[in-house]
Amino acid sequence: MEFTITQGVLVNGVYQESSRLTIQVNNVDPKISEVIRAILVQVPLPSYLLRKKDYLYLVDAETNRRLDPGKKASDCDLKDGSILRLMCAIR
Amino acid sequence: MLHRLVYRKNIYETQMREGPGLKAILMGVSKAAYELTPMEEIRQSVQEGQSLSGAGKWRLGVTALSKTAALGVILVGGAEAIHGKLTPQTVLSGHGSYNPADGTSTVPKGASVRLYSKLREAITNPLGNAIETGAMNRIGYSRTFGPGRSVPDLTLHPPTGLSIMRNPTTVAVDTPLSQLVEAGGGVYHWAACTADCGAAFTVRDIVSPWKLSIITPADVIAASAFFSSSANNVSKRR
Repeated sequence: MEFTITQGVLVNGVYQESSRLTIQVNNVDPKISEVIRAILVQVPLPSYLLRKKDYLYLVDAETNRRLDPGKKASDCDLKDGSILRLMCAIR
Repeated sequence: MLHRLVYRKNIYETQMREGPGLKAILMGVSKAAYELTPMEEIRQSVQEGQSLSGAGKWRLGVTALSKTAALGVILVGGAEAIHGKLTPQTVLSGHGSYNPADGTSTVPKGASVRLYSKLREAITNPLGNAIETGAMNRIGYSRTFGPGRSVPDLTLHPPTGLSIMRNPTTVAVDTPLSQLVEAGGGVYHWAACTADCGAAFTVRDIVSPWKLSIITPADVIAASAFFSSSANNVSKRR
């Protein structure tokens, strides 16, 4: 499957995108945790963010829904080409 | 305790009536000061002093002394409130880190740095939002480094992947704290981690809003100063 990952900041609830990259996940229906793992391998993250990798999470850009790492892409209605926001729970 | 209640009650009532601001604080402090001036005790002492019993004179004396002491606290608290109101407040938001190799820097004159986590701790994004919005009842820890004090030269990183609120100061490139704090800049609130970049860290979160706490004049001053200045905060350093 293929996903587009965006990086940016939510300012007062409005998302300001700073970059966008596409990643490939070699699985027909990957778990969200596998998508995050693929991001860490394929997307160059700054060191300050990489150190907090255990606190990274994904949000569906269309629905603003936080994606549970334990769930599969299909359970979260993610299809080929879905756009995801990469967020961090700690500062 | 009485003076605290009178102080808070008057500032609160005036702000409810006049809206928040320096005028409301001044009016509230003045009203509290007026109510606490021992005029009745002085009048009674002068006019009825001869006819009062020993116990009556003691009661009058103690009440007048108590009110005078409270009056002093009100005036000092009022001066602090006005000073806090006029002190610039800057929130520094983003990812943060502490590298021991960067050492410390000295806080310049007219500035102070307030951290909301112990060194080598991370903060959650909701705690960062509480700092940005001045939600003091959600913050469980703070430490202020005043002018002339040594403070760890923390690094502020861009706020990638974070949700930030209001209009804090953010950076586009990694910037040391020593380059962000300026002489006469007022209070700098660090809404970022202080985690050691090469070691494990603990995470500090917001405290429960239901936690029992006593609101002191210092809380009123801090919240009032914060809300008044956060609207015209400094521009982003991009």
